[in-house]
Amino acid sequence: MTAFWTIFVKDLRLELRTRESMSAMVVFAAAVILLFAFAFDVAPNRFRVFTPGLMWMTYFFTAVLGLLRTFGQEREMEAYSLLLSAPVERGAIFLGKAAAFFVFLLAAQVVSLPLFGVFLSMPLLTAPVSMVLILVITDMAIAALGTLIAGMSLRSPMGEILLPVLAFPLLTPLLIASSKATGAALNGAPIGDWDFWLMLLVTYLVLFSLVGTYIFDYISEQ
Amino acid sequence: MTTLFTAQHISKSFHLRPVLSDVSFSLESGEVVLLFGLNGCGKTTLLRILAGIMRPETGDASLNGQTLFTLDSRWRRDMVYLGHRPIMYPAFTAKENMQLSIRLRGQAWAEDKFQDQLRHYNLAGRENEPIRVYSEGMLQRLGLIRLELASWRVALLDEPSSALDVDGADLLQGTIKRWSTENRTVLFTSHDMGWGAEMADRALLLSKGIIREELTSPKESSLLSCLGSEQ
Repeated sequence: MTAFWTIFVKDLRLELRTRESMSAMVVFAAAVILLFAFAFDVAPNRFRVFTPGLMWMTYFFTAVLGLLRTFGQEREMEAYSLLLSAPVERGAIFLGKAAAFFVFLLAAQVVSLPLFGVFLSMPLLTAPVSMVLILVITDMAIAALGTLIAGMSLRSPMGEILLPVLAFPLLTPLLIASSKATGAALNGAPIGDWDFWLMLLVTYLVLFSLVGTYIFDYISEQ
Repeated sequence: MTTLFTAQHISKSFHLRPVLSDVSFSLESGEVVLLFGLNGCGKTTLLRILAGIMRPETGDASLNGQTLFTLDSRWRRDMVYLGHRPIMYPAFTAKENMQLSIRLRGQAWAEDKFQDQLRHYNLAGRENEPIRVYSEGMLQRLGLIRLELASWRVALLDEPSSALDVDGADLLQGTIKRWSTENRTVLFTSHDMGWGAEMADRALLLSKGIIREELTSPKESSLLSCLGSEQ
C-alpha cells in the first residue's frame, strides 16, 4: 500500500510540476470537439445519435496521447529504472500509475466535456448520475488497460508506435460498450436496458486490473 | 571474508544475439570487484540483471542465502544500482528525487543525513533545483548521495567515475573504500583501468558471454594485457 501511494503521489506531483500530460490531453480533446462541431452539419436532434461515439472516440485518442506523455517522463533520464530496481512489488507500480492516470483522464474530461454540450448539443445533464458512473468505470478500465500496454511498450525502442498499435484494438470493446451505455443513458433509458454494457465495462476493468497487477512483473522488465 | 553473493549460469540475449551465455561468479562481504571487458561484452546488461531492471533468460543468483529474481521484491532491498543514466526524474528537485528513492525502499527520510551528504558531495544549496539543470558530474554526485542515503549490502556501479572531475573521482574513491570497511560489497565497471586497478580487490574479465578470467589484486598492466588479448 505504501509503494502504491508513493507512486501515485509521485505521478500526481510530477504532473503538477510539468503539466505535460494534462495540458496535451485537454488541448487535444478541445481541438477535436471543435473540429467535429465544424465538420458536421447535422440537426441537433439527429446529432445526438452520433455524439456518444464521438465523445468516446475523442477520449480514447486523448487517453493514448496522455499515456504517451506520462510514460515518456519515465523514459527521460531512465527514471523508470528507479522504480524497477526498488524493493517494491511490480503490481504496486502498475496500480499506482493506473490510479494516477485515471485522475488525469477524469480531470481532462471535467474540463473538456462541457464543450460537447456547448458545441455538439450533447444533453449531458439529462442523466448526470448515470453519466458519472459510466465515465468513472470507463476511465478506470482505460487506465488499467492503457497502463498495462504502456508498461509493456516502455521497454521497447518502438514504444511510442507500439502503444497506439496495441491499445486501439484492445480498447475497441470498451469503446463500443461505453458509447452504447452513454447513448442509452442520455436517451433516458432505465439502467436495466443498458446494464449489459455496464457489466462489460466492469468486466474489462476487473479483468485488466487483475491481469496488470499480476503480470506487470514480467512485462515491465526487458 | 565470507561469500555474500553468488550468480550462476546467467544468460541473456537481445534479438537472438547472445550477450551473456553462462555467467557465474561470487562476491565476498566487503569486497570491491571490477567487472571489465571490451565495449558491448555485456557488463551493463549483467549489472542491470542483478539490479532487477532486466530479467535473465536462465540462471539464478543468491544474496546471503536469499534467492534473487523472484516475485518477492524484498531481495532488491539489499541491492542498489547506479547506472550510466541518473535514473531520476528530471522535473523533480534533488531533494524530491532522494525522498522518492528512500520512500520506495521503505526507509525513513533523514534530513540531517541528506544535508551532510550534500555538503560532502559539494551540492549544498542546490537541493531545491530541478535536476534537469544539473551537469552530468552533478548528477553522478547526486547518484552517489542516493546510495549513501539508502541501506544496502551490494552496490552495482556502472562506470561510476565517468562523468566526475578529479575531485569527484577522489571523493568516489574514498567513498568506495569506506563502504568496503563497512563490510559492504561493490561490483563496478570502468574503462579507466588505472582507476579500476587502484580500487579493486579483484577483477573479473567478461568476454564472449562468460567470466573468462579472474585476477586477484589486479594491476593496471595486467588488466590492459587481458583486454589486449581480447582484441
